[in-house]
Amino acid sequence: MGTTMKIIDFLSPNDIIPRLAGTTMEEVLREFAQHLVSSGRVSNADQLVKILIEREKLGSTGIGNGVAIPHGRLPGLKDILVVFGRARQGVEFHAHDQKQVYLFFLLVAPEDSAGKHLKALARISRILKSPDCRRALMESDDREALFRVVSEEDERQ
Amino acid sequence: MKLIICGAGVIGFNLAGYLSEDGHEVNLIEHRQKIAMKASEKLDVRVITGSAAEPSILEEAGVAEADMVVAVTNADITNLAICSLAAAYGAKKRIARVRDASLNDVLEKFGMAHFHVDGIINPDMVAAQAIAKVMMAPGSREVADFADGEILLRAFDIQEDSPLCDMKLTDLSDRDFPWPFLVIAISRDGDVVMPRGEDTIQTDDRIYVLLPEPSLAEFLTFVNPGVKMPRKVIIYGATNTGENLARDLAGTIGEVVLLEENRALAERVAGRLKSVTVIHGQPSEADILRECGIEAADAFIAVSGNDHVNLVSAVLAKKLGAKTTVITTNEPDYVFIIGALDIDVVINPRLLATDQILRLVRGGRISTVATLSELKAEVLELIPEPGSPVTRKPLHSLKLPKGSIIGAIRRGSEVILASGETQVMEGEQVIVFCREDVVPQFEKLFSRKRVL
Repeated sequence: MGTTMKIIDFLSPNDIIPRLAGTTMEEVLREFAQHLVSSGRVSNADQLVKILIEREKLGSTGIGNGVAIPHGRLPGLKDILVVFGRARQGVEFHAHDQKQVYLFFLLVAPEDSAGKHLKALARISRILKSPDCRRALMESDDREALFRVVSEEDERQ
Repeated sequence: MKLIICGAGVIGFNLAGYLSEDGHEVNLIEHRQKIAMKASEKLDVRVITGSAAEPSILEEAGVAEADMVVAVTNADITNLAICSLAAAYGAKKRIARVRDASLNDVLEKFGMAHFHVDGIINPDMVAAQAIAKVMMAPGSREVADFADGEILLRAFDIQEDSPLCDMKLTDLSDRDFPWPFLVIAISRDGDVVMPRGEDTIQTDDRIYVLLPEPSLAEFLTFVNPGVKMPRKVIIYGATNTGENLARDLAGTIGEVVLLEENRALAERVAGRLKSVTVIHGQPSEADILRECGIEAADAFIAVSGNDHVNLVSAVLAKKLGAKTTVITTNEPDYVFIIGALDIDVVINPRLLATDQILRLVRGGRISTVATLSELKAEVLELIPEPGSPVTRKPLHSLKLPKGSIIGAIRRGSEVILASGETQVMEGEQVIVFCREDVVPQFEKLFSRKRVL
C-alpha cells in the first residue's frame, strides 16, 4: 500500500549529471540518451530520443517549479532506469507554469510496465514537491552532494 | 418547469425523454402524424400534432406560461420563427437549432437577441468539435469535457498489448502521481462495471476515464505506449462539419486532405480553406482513396450527409490502411452495428446536440451533460447549493444512488479526483457518473431542502 518505492533503488551516483550543457529540449534529451548509451544500458540513442520527444509532443512533462520528468517506454528494457540532470542555465520545456526547467529526472521504463512506471513517477514527483529539496538540488556542487540530497529526501519522506 | 419542445426528430424525441424523466412538464409538438404517434406511444409527455410555427398550436401547448421553448424542427427558419412567436407570447427562454452556416454568421454578427433566441445549437459544429477532440486524444472512442475544459472524460478500448491490461485499479493510483486519472466505469461484454480498487482492467474493455486536462497525454501512453499525434488525416464530405473540422485540424496536423464528390462544392471549399488539400472524387473508390494517400493516413473521417456512404467508405479506408476511422451518423441505432464493422469512432451529431441542449435547459445546478447511451448512463456537472446534503459529509458516509459515483471536483484552480475522504463544498463544479434514472436524486443531493 502507498508509496514504498525509493528513488535510490533506481538511481546511482553515476547517473547524476550536475551540468547539462543543452539549452533546448532536444539537446537535453540527447545528453540523457548519450549518457545511457555510453554506460552500456541503452543501445540506440536516436531511438530513445525519438520516444522521449514523442511523449513531449503529446504534452510537456514539465510539472512546474523548474522541474521536468521526461520519460518513455523502451522496448526490450528489463527494468526502470533513472537519471538525474541539472541545467543551471535553464531550458525552455513548455512546462505548465510557463517557467524554465532546471531539474530533470529522466525515467525510462520497460514497455509493459504500468504500475511500477506510475509509482516511480509518483515517487520522483513527491521528492521534488519539497522547495527545500529543490533548492538544495540547485545549490549542491558535485555528483556526491546531489546524490546525498536525493537520498536524504528519500529517507525523510 | 414547463417546457415546449418543437419537433420530434432525434433531438426532440430524446430531449423529451430525458426531461420528462427529470420530472419536468413536457409538451412536444410534431406535425408529422406518424412520428407524433410514435412519440406519444413511447414517451410520457403530452404530444400535440401540428406545426409549431402556427400560433394556435403554440397556444394549445401553453406557450404563454412556458419556462422554455426548444425549437428543434429540421428547418432553421421555422426554428427561428418559433422563437420569435414564443417570445411575443411571453415564453421565458428560447433555444433554436440552426445548422446553416450563413445564418449562424448573422446570428453571431448581430446577436441572438435580435431573433429573440437565448441559445443556438448547431449539431454540425458540435460534431466537428467532438471529432477534433478525438483526434487530439489518439485512441479515444468517446469524448466529453467538463469544468470549462479542465476535466476531461475519455473512453478507450483496451487492447491486449496495453500496459493497463490485467492491472488492478489500486496499483494505478498514487496520490503523488503528477498525472492522476480515475477510471469511473468499464463497459465489459455489454454490461457496465462500476470498478472498485481490487478490480482489474481486461482486454476488450471499454474504459471511461476522468482526467484533469494535463493528465491526458500521460494517460494516452498508458493505453498505448506507441501513441503518436496524428500526422495525416483524410476527411470525406465538404459539409459544414467537414469544412469546419478541416479548418480546425489544419492548424495542428501536418497534412489534412478533404475529399468531396461534388465538383462545384469541392472547388468552392478549396477556395475557402488554406493548408488543406481538397480532392474531388468518390470515397467508395479504392483508387481515389489511394490518390488521397490512404495508406499513410492516421485517420479517415467520413462526415458527409449520407450515412451509408460514410459507413462503406470508412470500412474501405480501414482495409486500405487508414489507422483510425471515424464516421458521423444520424441514425442512433447504427451505434449497435458498428462493433461488427471495424469502425473506431461513431459520432452522432444529433445526440451530441441533445446533450448541449440538456445543458442549457437544466441550467443552474446541472451545467454539463454527456449521455453515454450504450451504458444508459450520464455524466453530469453539478454545483452544490449552500447547505445541500452532498456538502455535509465526506463521500464515504454519503448515501449515493445505486450505480453512481462522484468522480472529480474543481476547487478553485485545482482539479481533485474524488476519494472516500473527499468532502464536496458549495459552489464547486462536481462531476458525477450515474444511471439515467437517478439524475433527479442527484439533483436533490445538490440542492437545499425547500420544505422542512
